[in-house]
Amino acid sequence: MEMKNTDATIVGDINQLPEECISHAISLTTPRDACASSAVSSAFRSAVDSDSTWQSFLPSDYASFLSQAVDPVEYDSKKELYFRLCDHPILIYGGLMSFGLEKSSGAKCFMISARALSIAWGDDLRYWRWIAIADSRFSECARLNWVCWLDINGKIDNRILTPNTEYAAYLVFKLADGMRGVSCPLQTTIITLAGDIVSEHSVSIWDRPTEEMTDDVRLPRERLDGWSEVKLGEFDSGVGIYGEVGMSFMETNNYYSKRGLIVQGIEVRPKH
Amino acid sequence: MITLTSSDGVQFDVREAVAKESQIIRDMIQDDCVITNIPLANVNHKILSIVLEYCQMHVDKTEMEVNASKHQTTTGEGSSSVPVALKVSSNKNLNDWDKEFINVDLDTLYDLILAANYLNISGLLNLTTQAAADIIKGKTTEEIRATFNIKNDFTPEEEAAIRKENPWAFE
Repeated sequence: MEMKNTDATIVGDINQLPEECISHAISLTTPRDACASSAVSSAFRSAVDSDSTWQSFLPSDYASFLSQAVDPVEYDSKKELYFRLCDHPILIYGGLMSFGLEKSSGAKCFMISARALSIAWGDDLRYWRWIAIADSRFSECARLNWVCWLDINGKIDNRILTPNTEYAAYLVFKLADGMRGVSCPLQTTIITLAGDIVSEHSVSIWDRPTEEMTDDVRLPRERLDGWSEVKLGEFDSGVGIYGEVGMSFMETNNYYSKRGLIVQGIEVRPKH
Repeated sequence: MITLTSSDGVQFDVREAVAKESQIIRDMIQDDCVITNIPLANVNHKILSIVLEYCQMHVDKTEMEVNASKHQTTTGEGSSSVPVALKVSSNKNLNDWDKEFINVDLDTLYDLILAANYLNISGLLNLTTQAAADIIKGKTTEEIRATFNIKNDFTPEEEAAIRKENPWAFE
């Protein structure tokens, strides 16, 4: 059986392959590669568009999230569903969380609503108010009335994240009129994975650096949805790591009163 | 032994276990246990010999592992971690062997995908389609066309419309 080395130099026609084989090969690439392949030829486009290709890019447990959707998700093809979840995250768990996909990799993205976060004094109307904001994906956002002890914590089960993925957590917020006490001192962020601290940082939700700030202080940036975000930290979801990802944002070092922060939630998505 | 006859009339005598790596041959043998000669209309002798090389290797490796673990059980030598270590190293060898095996020109790769699909040999189908996937990965549309020698049958308007659907994938 020494016939492996052929002397053929003419490249054959890949179109002789059944569509299912081309689909199979493309399903082993990435969503980006699949989109690039769809412009190659009509045969490739048809293979790319098949349900089997996009099924492989959807997370294996996508159906369990769809079953938790607040509004039923309707779709005619797996490709349509894939892009629906990339472009318009759906509300799940009674509207307390959103679920979506990152387009180029298909990795799962979640946003935990302010209501599902643990906010110190969040239940006390003197300190925090719950308001509706038109461009928020959740029905309620937390508006800081005033507080000395700013302490916001979120957690998510690491097992629902896409394994082996470099994730980052972001506080999604706005600054309201009358905002004060948020530029100095800086806020501290901590990310824990299964109880271990994996990231610790200084951040500022005020986007103008002050003289006291060192270069490694993270500043906020604007999102496409009209909100701002600041990166709380990064972590690798790894493989088979049981436990929670804890995400903390706090400023409890002094008792200046802080005002005017509006929190939509904490988003967890691939960091790239 | 079972005789497999290629589309161009060449006969290959192989052990039943080797032939049964193919799901369709496995089904045929199950349906009719006296079958000894199977004509394969869609695979020529050149490709069939490569396919059988793959099946032979994978059957041999599996049998070696089974024998090793049997030997382990009957003699009771050493700790129980030995067969696991053996399996890991043999899987590694097999992966290396697969990698070397699939290092073929595109024509042969297409034929192997077709044969693996027709004979329904899942391991070989995964290996060959993964090789095709690895060639596609990271390439632009033009590079994919050039690599696989594919004619663009879209009108410029059609192609522009497809690119417009997902501009991020073409950056």
